[in-house]
Amino acid sequence: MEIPREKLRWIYERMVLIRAFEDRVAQEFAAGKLPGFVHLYAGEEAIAVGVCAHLTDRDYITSTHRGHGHCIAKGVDVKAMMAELFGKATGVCKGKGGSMHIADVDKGMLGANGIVGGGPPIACGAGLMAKTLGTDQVAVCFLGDGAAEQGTTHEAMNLAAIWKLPVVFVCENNLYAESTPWTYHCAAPDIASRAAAYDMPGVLVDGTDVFAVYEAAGEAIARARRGEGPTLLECRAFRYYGHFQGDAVSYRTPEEEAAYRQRDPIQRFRETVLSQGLLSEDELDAIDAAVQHEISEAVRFAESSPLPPPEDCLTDVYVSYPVEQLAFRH
Amino acid sequence: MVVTTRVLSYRQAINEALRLEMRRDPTVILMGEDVAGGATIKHIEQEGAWGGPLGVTKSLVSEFGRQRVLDTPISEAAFIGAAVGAAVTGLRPVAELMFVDFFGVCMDQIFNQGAKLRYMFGGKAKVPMVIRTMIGAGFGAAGQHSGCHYSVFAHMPGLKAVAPATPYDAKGLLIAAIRDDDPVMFFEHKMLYDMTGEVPEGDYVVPIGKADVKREGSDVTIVAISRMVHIALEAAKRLSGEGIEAEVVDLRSLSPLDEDAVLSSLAKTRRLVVVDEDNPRCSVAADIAALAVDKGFDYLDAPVKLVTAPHTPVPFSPSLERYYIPTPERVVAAVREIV
Amino acid sequence: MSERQQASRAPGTVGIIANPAAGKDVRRLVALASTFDNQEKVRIVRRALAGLTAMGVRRVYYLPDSFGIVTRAAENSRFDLELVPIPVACTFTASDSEQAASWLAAHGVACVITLGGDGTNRAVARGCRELPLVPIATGTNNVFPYLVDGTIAGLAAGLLAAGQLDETCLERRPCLEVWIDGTLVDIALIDVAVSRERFLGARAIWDPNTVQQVIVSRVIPGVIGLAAVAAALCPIPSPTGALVEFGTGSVCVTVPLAPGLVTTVPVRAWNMVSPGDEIVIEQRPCILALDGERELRIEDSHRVTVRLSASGPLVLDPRLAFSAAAKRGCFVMPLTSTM
Repeated sequence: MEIPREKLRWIYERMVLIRAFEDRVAQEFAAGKLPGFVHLYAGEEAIAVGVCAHLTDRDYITSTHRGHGHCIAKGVDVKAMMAELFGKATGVCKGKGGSMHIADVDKGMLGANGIVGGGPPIACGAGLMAKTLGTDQVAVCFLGDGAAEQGTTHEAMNLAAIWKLPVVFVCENNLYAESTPWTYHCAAPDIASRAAAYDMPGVLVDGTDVFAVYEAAGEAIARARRGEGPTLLECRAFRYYGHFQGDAVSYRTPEEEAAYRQRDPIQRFRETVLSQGLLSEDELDAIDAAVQHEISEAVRFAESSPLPPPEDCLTDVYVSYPVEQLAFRH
Repeated sequence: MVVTTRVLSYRQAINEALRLEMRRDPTVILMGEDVAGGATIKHIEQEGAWGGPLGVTKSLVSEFGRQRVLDTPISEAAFIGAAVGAAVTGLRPVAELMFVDFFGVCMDQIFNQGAKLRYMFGGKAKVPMVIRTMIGAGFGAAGQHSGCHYSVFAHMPGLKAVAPATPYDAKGLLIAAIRDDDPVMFFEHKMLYDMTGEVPEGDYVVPIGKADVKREGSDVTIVAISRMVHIALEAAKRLSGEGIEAEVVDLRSLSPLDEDAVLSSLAKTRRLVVVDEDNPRCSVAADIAALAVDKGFDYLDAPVKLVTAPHTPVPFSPSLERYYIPTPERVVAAVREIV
Repeated sequence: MSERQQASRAPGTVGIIANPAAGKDVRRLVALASTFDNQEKVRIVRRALAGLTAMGVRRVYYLPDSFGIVTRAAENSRFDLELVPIPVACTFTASDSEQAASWLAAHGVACVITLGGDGTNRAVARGCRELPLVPIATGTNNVFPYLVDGTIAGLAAGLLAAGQLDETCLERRPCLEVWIDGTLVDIALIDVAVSRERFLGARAIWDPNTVQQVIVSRVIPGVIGLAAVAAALCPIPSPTGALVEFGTGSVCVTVPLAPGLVTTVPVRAWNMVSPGDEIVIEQRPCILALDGERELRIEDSHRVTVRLSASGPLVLDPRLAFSAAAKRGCFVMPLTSTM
């Protein structure tokens, strides 16, 4: 496996951007500036980035509650994302989606999803489009370990398998569905082996190692593009924050947290590329600085943007519909 | 241009709408349980295939092939959701939810995904999909294959809902639904499949959101939906013998609702009866009544009457099922109360 | 306290190390390997426990893998067994297996049953010293372990624990030691490959074009993986190892490099390697793949040698065990004793 230098820079920049975005969102949320809930992706960066490194804007992804990382890896504009989390008119969804539904169809990002297991059937649909029209597009379905127990996930894996759809299911096993350990909620002692039931490859990947994710995802996506059908990748990683901001994370021990932080995906990437002289320390530090600047700019943009006018509540429900029937009667 | 019409059944009219749209637009695909039928079974691969359990999509597979007429596993959540995903990414899928009563196993994909994506994405997405589904009692199909339940969908922002009563409207509304850029629920009444009527050749559109006055009258307005339009027409015929001329408004679209059509008929007749086979609580019928008292109060000379199914599941036994379905007699009785 | 004294305090006990991650690497994608289902590992362990209890084993130490392979195997069972978790701090990496093997070796159990492939057994062998292995194949490449039912492995391990077998049933396997700058850093049981890959990445190795040379610990016919290249060139079972240089110049061999992946590999040269021989790795930087998995990144400044050692792990051969046990009449009892 060779990774071009520009791609290595991109991988690092996206991982650091996700981390910085999430850390900043945690701060802004704690400061009471963000409405609603946020579910943060820090710690799992290697998965979104290692997978999306193989995708273009024409390829599609579906996402989870924890969707900011997938958006950034898919190239969604960070300013518009931040504005969305602030509920601003300049948000990528005009303030109508928020963190849990953040999306940008123009970038092939079919939405974070408030419903656990909501995405897998939709990813099949995107794959069906590609197959029907004979394009080489693929759809990647990110799902959590919690979604591994939803019927939709199993139905979708079966559908993708019988129709040989160009879909890659990427199960991000971060060990806990909310506070419930996956070893409790999953009757199988792993998720990857469930692929065997649908006659697709099931591969277990270290989700804290972006090189491992990159290589395995590259093979799975290439297989999908060749028309050979779906794959299930189980990527094990760890979310640094709780299930949502405000979760006291009482279900994890400090030892467990410490053990995982030793395998930090960004730190591991730095060590690998530095020890091999692939990228220089100065280069990485310059990326760090640029990312910090980008995040600050994004927050500035979000804060200075206007809230949507209240009557915007009534737009974007339909492409066409009598507007008087959308409004209150009185 | 001379438009030739001929007599087709409601079933044939739906089939023809699908065929014409699939010819016109290569992005239109059909998917559902047995919509082709017998996938991989060689001796029925083409002509012998079912075309749905009641033959509505029969022989479409022989013209368009299995790439566009897709038999699905019995996984409604997966294939309805796949229709959402395909619609968002560029196809115009027509998914068949065999009986509307099955919405329980796939509702999330319909209302949390298909109906809400455009809004949640700030208008960046469109979801041009159609869900065709069978409604209605009268078949002895009992509690899980006989409901109407369109009120549930009419209630949900992001969905459109239409329920044709005649072959003409079935064809024109289905063509409109397929060309519509929003998700449309298309309700087919299973007791109407064999009903025949004049249907023009070629394509035409019955616009979504437009009701149709199926019978003009001056004394009372009867608003009806789907099969109930025919019950209302039968009632109107009987009332005419008593000197009461009922105007029958076929709603056709449940969402959006043709408020003007209801209100202008009401303005003329000043009396309103709504006939609806769905359960009465929080129903389209109740919504029409609310519309009448809200925006048409000054027109009303009498209380609004609802003739609906009872608030029960659909029963099995013929005697019970007959009791369940609104009849011309009940409509006549309701009219007599207010005229 | 010597190990022998410790052993005397824990007679008739056996260890189990079941690797939950075995059988799931990227060779499912790049070759045609099966996804090894962990439920099947649970069932294999359950059968092994049946074999162990039948031979009188009453205590089993197991690696608490937190995916619960061994504890799930014992759930709802009627095995009269004490299951004791091995006290290691789980990191969910290969080092768990190594630490567990080391603890078992220090605490005098009779043998350890392993579930995994070559990679799992390599991790166990790093820690097990003189503790015999009873390896059950559940990996992707299974040159080292036996394709044996769990029942048979359990019975054989139970016989050893019960003192019914002597060392003639144990086979001493060779291993390859990897020395970097004079320090022994790791071992391989089957092969060491010098790879031009830059990253450890998804670890498995399947592209012969990235391999410069392979050193095998023994030449075994009928195996899958890089060791198959040596087997194709030197087909006689031999106590010696071999060094194969990849590249054009001499011959091409057709070999199964991974399950379902049969490919042609150009070979420049090959030589036999005897125990004690040291091979200096000239290519630097490089990655060393141990038993088919990219493990060690070697920098320019390192001096790396690979040494073939005749004193690798001890393995209990189930066929020899059953043969010896039958000779001693272990499975036969007088008719009266069953009454």
